[in-house]
Amino acid sequence: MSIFFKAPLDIEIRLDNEDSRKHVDVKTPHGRMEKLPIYKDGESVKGTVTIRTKEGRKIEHLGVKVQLLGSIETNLDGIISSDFLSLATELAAPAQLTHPETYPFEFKNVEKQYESYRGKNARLRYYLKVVLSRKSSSEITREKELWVYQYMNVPIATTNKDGPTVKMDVGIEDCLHIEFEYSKSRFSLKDVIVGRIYFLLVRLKIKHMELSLIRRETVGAPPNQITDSETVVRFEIMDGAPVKGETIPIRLFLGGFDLTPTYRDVNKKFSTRTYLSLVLIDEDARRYFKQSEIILYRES
Amino acid sequence: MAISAAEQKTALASSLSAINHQSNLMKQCLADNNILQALKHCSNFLNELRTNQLSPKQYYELYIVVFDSLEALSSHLLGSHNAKQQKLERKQKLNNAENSSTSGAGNAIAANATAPFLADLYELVQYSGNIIPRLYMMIVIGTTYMSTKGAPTKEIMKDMIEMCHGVQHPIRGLFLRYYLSQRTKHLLPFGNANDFNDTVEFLIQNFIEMNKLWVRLQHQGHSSERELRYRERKELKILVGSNLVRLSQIIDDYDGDENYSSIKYYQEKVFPTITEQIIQCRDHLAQSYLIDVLVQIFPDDFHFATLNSLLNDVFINLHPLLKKSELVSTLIERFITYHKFESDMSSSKVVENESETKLGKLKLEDSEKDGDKNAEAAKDDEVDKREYESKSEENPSVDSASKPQKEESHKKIDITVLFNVFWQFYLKVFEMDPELPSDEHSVLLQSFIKLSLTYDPDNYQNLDTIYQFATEKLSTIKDEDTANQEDIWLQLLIVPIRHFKSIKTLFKLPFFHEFYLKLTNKQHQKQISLEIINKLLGVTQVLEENGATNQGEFEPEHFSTTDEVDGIFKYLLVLIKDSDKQLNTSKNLGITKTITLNKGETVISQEFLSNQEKVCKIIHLIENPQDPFKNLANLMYVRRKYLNKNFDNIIYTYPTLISRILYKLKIVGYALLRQQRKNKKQSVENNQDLLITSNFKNLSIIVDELYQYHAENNSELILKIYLNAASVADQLKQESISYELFTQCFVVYEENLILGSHNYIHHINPHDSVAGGSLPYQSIIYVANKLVTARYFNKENYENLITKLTLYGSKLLKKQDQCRSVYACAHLWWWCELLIEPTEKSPTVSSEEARKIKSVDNEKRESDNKAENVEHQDDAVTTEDEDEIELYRDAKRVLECLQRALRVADKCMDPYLSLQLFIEILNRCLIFNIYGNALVDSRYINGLIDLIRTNIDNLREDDTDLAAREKETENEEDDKEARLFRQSQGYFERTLGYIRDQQALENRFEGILV
Repeated sequence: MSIFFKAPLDIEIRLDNEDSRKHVDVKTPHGRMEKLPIYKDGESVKGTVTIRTKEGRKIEHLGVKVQLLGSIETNLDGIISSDFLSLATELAAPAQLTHPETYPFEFKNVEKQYESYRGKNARLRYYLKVVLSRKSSSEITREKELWVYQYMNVPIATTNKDGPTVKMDVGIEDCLHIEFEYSKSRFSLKDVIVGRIYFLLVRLKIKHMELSLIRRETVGAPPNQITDSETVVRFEIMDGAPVKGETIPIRLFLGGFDLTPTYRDVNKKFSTRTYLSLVLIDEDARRYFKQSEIILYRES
Repeated sequence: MAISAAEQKTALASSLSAINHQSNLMKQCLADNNILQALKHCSNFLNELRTNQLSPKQYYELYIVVFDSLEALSSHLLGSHNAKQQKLERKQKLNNAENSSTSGAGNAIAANATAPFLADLYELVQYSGNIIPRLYMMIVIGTTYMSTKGAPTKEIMKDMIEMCHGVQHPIRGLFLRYYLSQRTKHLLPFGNANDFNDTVEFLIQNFIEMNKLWVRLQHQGHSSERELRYRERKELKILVGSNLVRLSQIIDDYDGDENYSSIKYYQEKVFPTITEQIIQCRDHLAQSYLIDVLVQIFPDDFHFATLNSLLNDVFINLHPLLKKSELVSTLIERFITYHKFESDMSSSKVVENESETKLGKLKLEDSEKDGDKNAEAAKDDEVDKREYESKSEENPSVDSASKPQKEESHKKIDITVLFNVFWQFYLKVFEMDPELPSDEHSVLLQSFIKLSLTYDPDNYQNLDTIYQFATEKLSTIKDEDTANQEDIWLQLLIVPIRHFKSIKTLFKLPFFHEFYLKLTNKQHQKQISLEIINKLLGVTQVLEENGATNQGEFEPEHFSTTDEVDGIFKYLLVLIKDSDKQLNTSKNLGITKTITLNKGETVISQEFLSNQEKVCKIIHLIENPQDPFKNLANLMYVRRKYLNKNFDNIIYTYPTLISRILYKLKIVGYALLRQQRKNKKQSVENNQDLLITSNFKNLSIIVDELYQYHAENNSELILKIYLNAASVADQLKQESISYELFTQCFVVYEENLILGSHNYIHHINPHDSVAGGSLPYQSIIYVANKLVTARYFNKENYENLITKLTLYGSKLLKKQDQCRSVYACAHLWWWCELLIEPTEKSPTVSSEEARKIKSVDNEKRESDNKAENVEHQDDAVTTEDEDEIELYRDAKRVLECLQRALRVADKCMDPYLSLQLFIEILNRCLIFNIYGNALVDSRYINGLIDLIRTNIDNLREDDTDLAAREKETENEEDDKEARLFRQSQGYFERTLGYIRDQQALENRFEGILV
């Protein structure tokens, strides 16, 4: 649209301390990287909006307002978007613009309930939207996306915080019997998964064993649900065939991977979960695996 | 792995090139300081190590290349780390200079800042998706990190070893862990007890895991490749062993605090874990190799301390197919070298420091007491064990108190205890596995023997235990392969023989002989006997042990008691009984070198002869310098008990025995004679005299026996023996015995020699007066030669003997023999020298009266009138001489003999021979003339010369043409007669020349006309 109708004015949204603020690299749907400023839950969003007219034209408007929006887009049968957060501030009363005008704005202590998320079939985004309404033609809008991180406040030394150690006993009768153990089931994103696998019975000719992290995104409610799985990490933890009684250590640093904290029923629209999957590959390239969910959270 | 060798090769080549490529890229990146990129390349080439297709050897090639590349990475990282460190330090210094108050903070910054670089990298590489590259990078960075100051070394160690569990593939795992151990080699901390414990833990754990992988390799792949796997594993064994090597070095390097004792540590911590692992793996190769490494690598003191459990807990529980004997023998070898080393050390120490040795001696005594205690306790197995343990526990604490003592006390390892431990083990093994093959037994026992001998060569109890056991138990085991088994026992018996310093040691081992007797194969018994003999004679076949000098220094031992004689000869019995008469094929074909005896009747091998010779040499060793009679008795005993077991062989051994006895008798006899001379009047020593007599009688029995069995072929030898004995008897004034012996000589002569011919001389040249002659003639000469020296016969006996001999001589068949023996016998009537002490009187001469009476009787035989006339003259001469020396002389008889010789010579058909004999007789006459026989005067000699001249003239006339021909063909050799004639002429001329010379110089031969 903008190709045909060049907006007669520029709207620039500047955030306070934008240069010094932490940014995150996010992939756009087109595959490009995008740098977005990071905000926390409850953090005020503060900045300025500068409107410049082009070539000294006069522009009349019916008011300028800035909105902070939080929306979820899901792609079930066509993209449905719904806002869960909508804050707005009037920046300027209807007037005529002749020279660049700068308006400061501030949304104080905004509650940002969810984290920003870009998945395959679901997106959750926060953005500032400046709307300049005009009488005749359409509004001129300008959006600036924010990236919101929700840091879990770590409850101090509660035993329950990391969840119980995960112990599992799996096997195929008379073929394989393993016992594995992860130190916990809740991990921060910078955490390390530590655990071990204990082979009680090995009749398979195992070639190697991997650990993979699978992100599963679920959109929609049950009858009408789309699930998408993506293997984020694949990590070989064992080479060669172990014998009975062998213990294989697991250590997987999470910090280096692009992981998403676990979201459950975000606004009843979607969930993302991460599964830790233990895969054994035998000499005939058959795969035996066991998945178990882990809870990921973002730690400050 | 269905992959051909060619494919493997190409795979290897491509992997290598990939590694090189990536490694170069990595190095470039490092040069650009682009570490992340470098790590990526590093990870790339490490991926090549994930290959599945290579044999261990090829994999090793990859490993080497990778290793080098990783070293480059490591050194770069270390370099940049140090650079950063220095920068920080500089900054810190600046800070210090600027503001002293902030220095604390600055320090904190520095401490924080140093760690992250390598620590971060250590974490970073763990994101690598594949485990092999990940672990290699972890190790290379981790170890680099460890080498820096202030690194959390132990945590890294623990982490790395833990994470290595992830590689369960045998070959890859082995190499990975090997890499770990190589990299950590010089970085392991052992500064304090805690670090040390951790390090040991680390090494042991790595060892255990590697061993597991190694064992597992056997079970990989197709069962048809089992052999291949086995080979591959053998190639890889060093990787596993390297851990133990390192472990031992660490234990060696660690000094510890006051309470620390490496032995104790080893005993309590290291040993149980390692051996547990070795037992648990239940793998043949692993067990044999690892036990070997264990034995070789750790110091001997450790083994002494843990010996009991090593044997009884470990060895017993090993794989049943494993040869325990090998393990034990390596262990024992080890102990033996240790012992040698220690004794070398201590001997050099003696030179160095005397006071120290004194101290050591005290200590030695102590430990000896200890040993005794232990020996007593050893009867009870359990008590023994406890005792032993407690002792070994005591020792270290004492040792650490003072260094010199430590070394000394180690030297004295009580053999009884040591041996008992081994022995208990052996009994256990035997109990557990009665089916144990005999070579196992043998090797084990041999090792025990060696051990016992090295540590305490004078302790026979142990050896005897071994032989007792061997005799009782082992021979009952019936093996199908008896020959082989015997071979093994043979070894068992030979070992101590080679070891003993003195062969007499054997006598103290009653069971040695019993075991020896169990050998059913004579050949083996023989071998052992020979071994013993060689040892005795100092012929060391194992020269490499003592070098060639051995023979020079060798001093043979002597056997002075009956027991000792018994001891040695019971081993020789087999040789004595041995006979080698049968003609077998190999002799027939000349494969075995043989010697033909007895006119071709007997063919014996060289070996047999040399064996007999050796027996003879042993006979020479029977010696008792203190008591010659005892010695004689021993010699007799040997004959009675051993030598006469095979009458065929006495011909080889008896002569030695006899000459030995004679030699001894001589010594005894001379001593006796001298004593008698000293106290002339008293005949106190009658007893000894009787002893000598009886010994001679026994001796004659021996010779008789020899004669009885070997008269046919060896009568000449026997004659000589008799003669020898007779002459000795005469010298010892045993007249009757001597007489009997001479008579015996005549018996031999009459029975066997008179018609006998030489075995070996085929052609006798009748003209040769020295070498020629038939056997009977020579026998007569032998006897004559002995008789002429006999001085202690009374006259009657002497004359009997010489008359008889002369008669024999005159009855010989051949004229030349007759002639020569007669003129030789003439000397028997005309003693030329005294041969005995001038103060003594020969009984032959002292009975002058008797002679005169006899001579009247003898007159009947005398046909020559001349002789009768001169008899009185002769007597006068003799009486004249009596003032000074008395010699038996009978001029008449001499003349008779000469006449007789002349007659015989004259009768000779061959004129040349006859001439030759005349000249010979002439020479005899000259001798008698010189020695004062008045009957052989110048007249007589002149007559003889004339006779010879006539003969020569006659021959010349007969052969004028011959002489003419002679001149023409002077050089022609084939004219035999001319040559003989010339020879005789020459001889004659020389004789005449001699006479002339003597006349001129000495005023002899008056009146002889030349």
